[in-house]
Amino acid sequence: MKSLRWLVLGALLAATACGDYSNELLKEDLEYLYAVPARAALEVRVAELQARNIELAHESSGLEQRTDAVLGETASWYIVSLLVSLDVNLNVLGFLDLVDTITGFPPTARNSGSRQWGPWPSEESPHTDFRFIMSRDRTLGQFDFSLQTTAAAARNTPAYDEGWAGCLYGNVVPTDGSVRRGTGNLTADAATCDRFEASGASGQASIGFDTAPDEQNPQGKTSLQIHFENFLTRGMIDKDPNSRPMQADYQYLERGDLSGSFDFDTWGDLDNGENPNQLAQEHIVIKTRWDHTGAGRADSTISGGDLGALVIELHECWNPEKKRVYYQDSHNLAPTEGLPSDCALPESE
Amino acid sequence: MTTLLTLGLLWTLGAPAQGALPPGEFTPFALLVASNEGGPDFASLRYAHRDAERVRDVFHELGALADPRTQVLLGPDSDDLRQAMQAMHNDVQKAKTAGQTVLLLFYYSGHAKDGQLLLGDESLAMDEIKRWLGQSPADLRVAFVDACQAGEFTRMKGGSLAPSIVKVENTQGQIIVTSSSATEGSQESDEIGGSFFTHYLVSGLRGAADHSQDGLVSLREVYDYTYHQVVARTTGSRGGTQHPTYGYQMAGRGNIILTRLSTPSCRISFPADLEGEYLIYDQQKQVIVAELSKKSGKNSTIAVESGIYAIKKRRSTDLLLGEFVLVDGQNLELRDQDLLSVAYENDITKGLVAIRKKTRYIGYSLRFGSQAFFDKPTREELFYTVAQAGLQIEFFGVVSDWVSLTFDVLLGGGSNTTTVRLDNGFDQRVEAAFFRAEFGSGLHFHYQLGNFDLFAGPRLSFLLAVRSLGPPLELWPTQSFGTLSPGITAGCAYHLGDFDFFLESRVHYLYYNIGSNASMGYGGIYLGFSYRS
Repeated sequence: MKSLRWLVLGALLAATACGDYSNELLKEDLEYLYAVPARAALEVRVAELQARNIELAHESSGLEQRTDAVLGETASWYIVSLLVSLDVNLNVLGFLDLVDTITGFPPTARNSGSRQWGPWPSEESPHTDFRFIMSRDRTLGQFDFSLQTTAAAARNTPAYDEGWAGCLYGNVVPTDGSVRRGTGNLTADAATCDRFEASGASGQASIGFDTAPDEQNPQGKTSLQIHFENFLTRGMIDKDPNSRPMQADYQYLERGDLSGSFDFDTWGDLDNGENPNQLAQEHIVIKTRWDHTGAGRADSTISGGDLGALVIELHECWNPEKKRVYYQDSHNLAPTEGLPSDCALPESE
Repeated sequence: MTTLLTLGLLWTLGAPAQGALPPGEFTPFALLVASNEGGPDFASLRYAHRDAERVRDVFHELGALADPRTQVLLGPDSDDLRQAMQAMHNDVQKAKTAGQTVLLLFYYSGHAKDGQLLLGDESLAMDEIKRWLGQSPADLRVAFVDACQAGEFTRMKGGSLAPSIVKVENTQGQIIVTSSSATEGSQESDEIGGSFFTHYLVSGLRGAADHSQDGLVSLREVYDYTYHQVVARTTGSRGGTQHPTYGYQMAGRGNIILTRLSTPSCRISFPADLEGEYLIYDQQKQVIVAELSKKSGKNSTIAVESGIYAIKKRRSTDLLLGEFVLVDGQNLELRDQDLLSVAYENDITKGLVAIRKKTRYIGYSLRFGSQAFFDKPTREELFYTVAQAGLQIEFFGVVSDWVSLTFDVLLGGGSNTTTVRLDNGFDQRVEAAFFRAEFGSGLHFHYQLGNFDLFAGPRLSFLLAVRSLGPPLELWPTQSFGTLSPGITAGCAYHLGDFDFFLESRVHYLYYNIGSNASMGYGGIYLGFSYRS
């Protein structure tokens, strides 16, 4: 009887206790929030990406215009690498800005093992509704995330709920003791993101990332493997209506001491179509490296396309101020300048 | 006729009792029984239990009665009473076997009807009590029965419905004193905080009945004092005049001394020149200890324990009132000039009705303090320690004379930082502005100690905790939690005029079930003051 009384009292107290005042809820929310990879952690930053360098990169309009740089000027291939990195950042990681905006708000729904934000309409994509879903596998210590789209016109119909498809998705295993760092992969499906907007976007960009610290980089690193498969976003089209889908592979590594490497293998029309008789795309392979001071080198190979059987090799080195200290190409497109010994780093293998 | 008998009685008792037997020669045993409840047909009594305790107190202080030989039954059923009677019988038998001279005292306060003592929903025949008394091996059996129709008890050989001078030849026998005749009701009064009979019985035992001024109160003296006071007080009352009765079956000689006024630690002496109605009120117990009709030309003494007493003398236009602290061995010789003249409306001892009016007031209090959870991580990370201010309304005298009902609100807030440790070991600090409110109600059980009021009791509060988060969760909605929380409170107040200054502490239990389940405890300590209106 006495225990029954306590039971009733306990039940009464439990029934009257209500609210959401909880550190556990905060902890759970923060864990989801901090599992999403941060754009800043995944950005490609070629040797101290600075405002002046960005400006220079935007001023450049073609590779051939920069190959005639002379000693003491900003290195041409450094600028090329910078330009490519900016394209990667803008074209792929822009989607993460949207995710950041979404997850800045509290989740719309909290379930055991998952969180959902949205659905929300978008001013920039008036025909599309977005939602962001994260789920957690405690056994694997892994979070799956997915930014999804569906047709705004289908609201209040069964098709609305059935129509959700992943636009930006992936998974991550967060790094111990840090936030928004980890190991995982991310896929941006440009076609799915814009499927209701008729923008012409297509293809996918896949990023494998590892931002976890390791023995050599206790402060953390950024290691990215990026593959563009016929990738064309609305942003790229808005910027240049003649943009072609990207087909490229990039490998980027930034170490804790700020040294790093950026290798890319892509196809491009080196004269940007200015010569109607030379519209074929050339195969461009650039291996860029820099040390902790910013001094570095680019070793490039250009082949195919309008070059036919011709293979051009170029080597350029720059100092910490990014000024050219050495240049040499296999076909004397520009005069050789400086000495190989002026380079801070040896030629890539 | 009654008046003549009374005059005769007073004249006779004016001389010292001859052959008085000092109480020390008896080994007294006492069975004191009280029942406020008399079954569904009777209204509950308010003071029967208290009356039994007062009788016990006076015999303990002045009558050589001690705990091992005293049994007080409050609200017993018939089986309880029979068992106690049997146990008492056995104890008396043992004392007799040991060669002691035994006085057996029986007291009952409660309802009675048709020859039955009413014990809640049960009853016990008065005849059974009488048989028990009659069969007891005690040398002397004395019963006081304070109940309606208690005169049924004295319908025995030697019984009388009128005051009489009992010529007790020796100390062998049985005497029964009842509060009323067999056809009368017995009344209790809020004004005196007890039944009329027991009130005057106790007053008499404390010395008001010591007509002979020998410092010994005999059974004859206390009966006659009680008889006259009860008759005088109940004449014209709504319940009708009440006549105590006195029945006996005695053999031998001797006077029966019930209390010895030199026994207690303190005495209040009323010199011969004082005259009037005096009332002695125990400030700590909040009971009337004794009432004395003081006649000029005679000394009187009231024996009391150490304590704080208010003494009041009624006059036609005002009261004389004084407060006295009596300590061990003190003999207070009262003089009217030691008392202050106060208006009747300021009479703090104007019977319990007045006292109850006085205690039926409202206290408004303002308090400041702090509230903290006992568990360190909880108070640092979840329910932060908070400074609070609060208001309380306390209703005195609504529940009972010594229990008050409180309603209060406490508010507080501030800012703090919560460190949230994520599963991956990262510690995220989150700023939080918080607010805490508590709405509570409770009972305070009061114990007066001079100007100090000690109080404690249960309480139930509704606790509301709210916090607003800072970066990186500044867009998160305000968090809140509300729950009922039982607790206890205790404190001490110091009276200063209409103000009380108090220190109070509270301890509460809280069941927390948001995100995780936990039993938590928290407490608060507060300083404040209250104004009584």
